[in-house]
Amino acid sequence: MNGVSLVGKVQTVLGPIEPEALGVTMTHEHLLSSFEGVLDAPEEASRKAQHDAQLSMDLLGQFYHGQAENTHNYKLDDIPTIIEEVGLYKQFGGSALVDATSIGIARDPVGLTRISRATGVHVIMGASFYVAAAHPNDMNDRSEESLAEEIAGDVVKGVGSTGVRSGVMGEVGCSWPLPPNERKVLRATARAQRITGAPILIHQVEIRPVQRRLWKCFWMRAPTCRG
Amino acid sequence: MKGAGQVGKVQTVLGPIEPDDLGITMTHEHILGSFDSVFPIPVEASYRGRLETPFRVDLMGWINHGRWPNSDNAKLDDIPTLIEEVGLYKQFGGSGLVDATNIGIGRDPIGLTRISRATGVHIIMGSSFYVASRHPSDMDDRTEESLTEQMVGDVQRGVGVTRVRSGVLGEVGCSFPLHTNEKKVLRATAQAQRKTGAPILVHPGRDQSCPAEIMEILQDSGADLARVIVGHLDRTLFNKKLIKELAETRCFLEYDIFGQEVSYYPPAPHVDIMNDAQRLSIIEWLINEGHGGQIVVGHDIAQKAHLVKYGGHGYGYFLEYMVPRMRIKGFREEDIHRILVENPNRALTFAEPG
Repeated sequence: MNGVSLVGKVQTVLGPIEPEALGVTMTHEHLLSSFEGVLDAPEEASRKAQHDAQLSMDLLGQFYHGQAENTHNYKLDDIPTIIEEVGLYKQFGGSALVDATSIGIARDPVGLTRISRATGVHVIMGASFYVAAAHPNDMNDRSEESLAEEIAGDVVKGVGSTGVRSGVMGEVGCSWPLPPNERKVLRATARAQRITGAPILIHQVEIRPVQRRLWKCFWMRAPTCRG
Repeated sequence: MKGAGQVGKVQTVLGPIEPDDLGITMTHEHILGSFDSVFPIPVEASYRGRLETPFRVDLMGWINHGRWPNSDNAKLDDIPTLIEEVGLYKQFGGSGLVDATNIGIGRDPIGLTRISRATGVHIIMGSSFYVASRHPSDMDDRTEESLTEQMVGDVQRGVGVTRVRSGVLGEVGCSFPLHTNEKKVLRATAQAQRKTGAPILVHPGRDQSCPAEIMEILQDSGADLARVIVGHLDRTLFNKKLIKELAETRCFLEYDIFGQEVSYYPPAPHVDIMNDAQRLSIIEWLINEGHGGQIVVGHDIAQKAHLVKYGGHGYGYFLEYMVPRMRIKGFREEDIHRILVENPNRALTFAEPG
């Protein structure tokens, strides 16, 4: 599975670059994504309406203070808007961004290449799977091997027919308590790191037992844990 | 004119009421106010341009994170909007609001009566003067007596020809270090309390030494410290020993910036302003120390960005968000009731003058 050697490089959506060329970098952002699948819809009718409403200024306070989540608010899907926002990042000296959007929250390889070309900002795309609530329907039946192969394929060959390659495996979604399928994904991701040498990025719940179990999943499988 | 029928009552903009009728009350808000020109004009052209830009959604992040001032944001001046916002407060159970806007920042007696009548919410109007930079231009020449006389007039006769009467002396503006004229205003305010029995509400300077200095001046000038509300503690006092010393004066301790979760504080960048979790934690500590009968709360709503209409938290935030959070954190219902009802009602009740 060895294509272009990535050792010693950073893999961006436009190809591998020298680490020195990366510059100021934020390692966890979402440029294009949709979290609607993982939001819990509220029971109360008036809150449900707000949950589904188009974003407007008078709703922002509620979303900011966490009383309500809104599906529209959790979608970053308009490429011209994101080009403008990433452009602002560049104006303040930013040079690169990790798009931590993994499988399950609407990863968008071609969209990322458009934004990167339009802004000149290096974008590193994610791989692997988000939390269980966002897993594909067939996750119960997937073997660790097939997941590892898919993840490694994203890094080495590119996602599907797009030719756009992932530069980080993550964010790997971990809930609490860790469901069996998330453990399977963690093990598969560790295997994919052995195959590709790519870094791993973890999304975790801030509870100590989770962290312990995470590391336990990794110990036997990954040469280095860059979680 | 002694007492003017106010002793034992709470003076609202629509007249005196029984303290028991006041209900749930936030003791430090601005319903109408104009804070533009409190902040310095930026030097840089692009920042100055944004100062004059009408409020827009894409300015909110910058405003909330304190990077630059915006004149339009600093004005609460549209009465239909404020009627709607105060109406939201009522929907969440709110019954009384202190409008801490006083002379220098756009106090609007008739506007407040309109909002109170439209919403049914009791409004207590302020008096006395804001910080020195907003004092009237003749303040150097004003005597302490003439200032006292003006405040007594606001409380007993009403502001000018409006006849709308103030129910609190404040927020009395104090800078750090205290300006000479601010000390004069503090002394005059203490005297006005002796003549009217009205409560005092203080806006302390941004230094931990400031509340104690203010309390000393007020006491020396004849104020009853148990009838003083010290505001903005969540951006002023962080040292528990100093908080305890202030509490022991028996004053009311006001945590009044609820809903502002950003720690960066442009008026004093060396201060990390408390967030809501820290506010609740210090209030819990004060209750355990036996000072639960002195705590009052509010949001110090003072910008468009604080209003629900403009993406903010609004006057009802404490009731909508903080009360459930207090329950999760294990606060007792009796303590929540004291903070929301009993303490503000007692704080705002007029005492016997003199």
